Amino acid sequence: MLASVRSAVLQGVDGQVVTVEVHVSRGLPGYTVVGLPDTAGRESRERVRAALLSSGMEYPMKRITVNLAPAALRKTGSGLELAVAMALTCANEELPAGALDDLALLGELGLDGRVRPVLGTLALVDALVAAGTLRVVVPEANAAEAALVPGAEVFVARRLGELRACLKGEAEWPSIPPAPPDDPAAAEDEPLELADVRGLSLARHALAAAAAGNHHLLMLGPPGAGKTMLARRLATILPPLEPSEGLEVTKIHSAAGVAPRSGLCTVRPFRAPHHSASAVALIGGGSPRPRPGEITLAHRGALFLDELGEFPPMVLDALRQPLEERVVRISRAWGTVEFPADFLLVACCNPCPCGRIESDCRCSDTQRHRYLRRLSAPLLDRFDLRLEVTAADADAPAGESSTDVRARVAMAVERQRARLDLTPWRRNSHVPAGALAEYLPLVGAAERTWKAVCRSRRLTGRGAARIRRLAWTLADLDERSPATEHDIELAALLRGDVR
Amino acid sequence: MNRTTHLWRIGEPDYPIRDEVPDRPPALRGEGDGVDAFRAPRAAIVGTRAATPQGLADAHEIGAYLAGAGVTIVSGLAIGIDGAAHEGCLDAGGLAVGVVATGLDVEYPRRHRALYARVRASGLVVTEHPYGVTPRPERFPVRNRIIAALCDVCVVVEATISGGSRITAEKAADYGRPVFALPGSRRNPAAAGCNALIQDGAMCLLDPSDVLVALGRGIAVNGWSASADARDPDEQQVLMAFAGEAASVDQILGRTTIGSPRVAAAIRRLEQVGVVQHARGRWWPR
Repeated sequence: MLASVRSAVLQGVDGQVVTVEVHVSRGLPGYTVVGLPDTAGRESRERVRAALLSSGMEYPMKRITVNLAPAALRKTGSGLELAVAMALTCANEELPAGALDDLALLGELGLDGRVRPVLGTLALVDALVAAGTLRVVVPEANAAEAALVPGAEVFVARRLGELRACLKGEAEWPSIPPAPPDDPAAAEDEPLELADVRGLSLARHALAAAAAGNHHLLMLGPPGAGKTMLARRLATILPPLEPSEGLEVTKIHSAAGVAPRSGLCTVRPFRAPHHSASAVALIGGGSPRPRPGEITLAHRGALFLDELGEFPPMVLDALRQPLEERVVRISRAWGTVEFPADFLLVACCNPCPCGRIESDCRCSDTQRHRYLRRLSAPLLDRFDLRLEVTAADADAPAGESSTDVRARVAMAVERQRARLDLTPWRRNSHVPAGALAEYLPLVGAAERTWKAVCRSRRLTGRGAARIRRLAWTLADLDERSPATEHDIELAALLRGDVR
Repeated sequence: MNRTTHLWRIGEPDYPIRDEVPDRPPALRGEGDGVDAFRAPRAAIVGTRAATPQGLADAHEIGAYLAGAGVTIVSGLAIGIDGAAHEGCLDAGGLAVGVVATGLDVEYPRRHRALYARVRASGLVVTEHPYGVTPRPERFPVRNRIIAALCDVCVVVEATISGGSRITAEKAADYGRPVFALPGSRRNPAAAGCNALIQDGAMCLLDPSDVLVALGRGIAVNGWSASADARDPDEQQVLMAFAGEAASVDQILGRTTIGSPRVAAAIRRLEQVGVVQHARGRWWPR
């Protein structure tokens, strides 16, 4: 007898629909899995057998062949076990024929017949719904997450025996449990507030522009100047996550196993990896299933690299391509996966290796040069905002509060969306050089100033375009359109020469 | 490479250290095409390697001014003040003498290879060492006495309190050469050595023409290049806010009333005409 059912596996951070076929025939008793399973897939035989027997179901002493289609796709993880077990039950005629039609099953099995949660439910269900399978059976712990997918009809599987009864119509489906509350320990001990940072008016300006226009920000300065303090408060002024973006971010975080327990991500991610991070940890990769790196976890949010100069130069240069294309492609011998990586990069760096304040620094110019040379010119070029931060006086006035800046940032984002409507771009920093004249025009004095700045700073075309985009973001923050010569001048100052 | 080489021995008429300096070297080797360098009056311009942008600009300007008046500039071809003084002299078409602490075939620091070539082309590179001698820390203070002995006047532009330029200045004073020091702010660690020299009796350099007076070649005039052309009010306010010292943009913003875009514009225009300069995270007025 033959039975088949839909399921899905993770491919990068996306789901890939898999059809699980089980064939039971007479012959020497045995169990064979074909269709490129990984070790977890081959081991599933023991879990499927024990779970069926523990649930009072039959494990046929026949020749069992499990095929995972498409056969050429390498499948990783244990999320297909529930589908295999139920297809086997159906093929063994313990379930009425057609009970598994139009249904997809996700879940790993325990030896006692319990259904265990899987990684990346959101992405898997999303892929199944997109492929036309709307009815999805998922483990209880994943049910709330699966229900986030619009159009999905979610059923809960707790134990194999109970699931069989539900499929036969002998029992009621269990209700979807409410999402558990988020881990209270994970919440910030003390809410961050931008007004706590004194002085640094220029750097605050830069921070708001970074949040509003997605301009990458590099701050250089001695320790204690307030760089890190300021950068950490970026999270408090980022614009709200849009619903469609929320789903996208949750999908990624769920696939990486770091999604909030309550389900949907509602705030923009803010990732701050330590400088000992490897290239793979930052970019993504790994074997056998490539996992998203920090830049993908920071998708639609911010990636904060403190002590940029301490990162290995090779790791930093790996950031260049994703910074430009906003996706990262991981290529291995078996194929390529693409992870989204549209993040805002905020970095801090000491100007010299000793890291002492100006008056105590004994570093020679040579040492400073050598230290900053670790940051390659192409990488530095990708920072629209580059400024040097010096310690503020203790009695400097407190600046705007996070609430006020967040409101201005949200307003600026709204203005950009209105202007860039019907284009593939959302923020000023996304507008390619060829479309600048159309979407970010400069007129009169502003254009003259822009040309004068580019001449006096001897800017390349790329540098000039960056100043233009930044000037527009500054204008958006002040609710002005088009950008004026003042915006150009300020943009030129905020994109300083750091070498 | 074809290089014109020279050897001067004590007692020969061309030996450039004329009066009786007790510890003068028995022989000096030299390379370069500027054979007339020793026939002109000579001023040493020395200072710290950890110079501020202002100090470098001053060294360049003094070097250029004196070279324009026909004075040979003697210095040590080091990073910082020495290099800026050589460059100022060469830019003005003057004769430069670089006294080094290595063999003539060793170019140290390597960053100054281009400057070595310029000095050889229109001046002299001089040493007491034979070929092949490598740079060692103890050789530099010993070399400084040759700079002091070769010059007729010694000018210290910026010096730290414990730096080698103070050795040069003290040796020059021992040999009876007039010593000038350029005063600086008490907040500038690179000016502390100069201020200490002035307290010890060095002459305070208020104008480069003071050096010509000491050489008996001129009268005191205003030699610092004229500044303060008609500037717009924003630029003036920003320049006032610097008060002659390095400052961050945040500091300037706190001292002015015109707002960040206009401060940005003023700083950019001032930078364009070379009145302010960006280095080490701050802006420096000249």
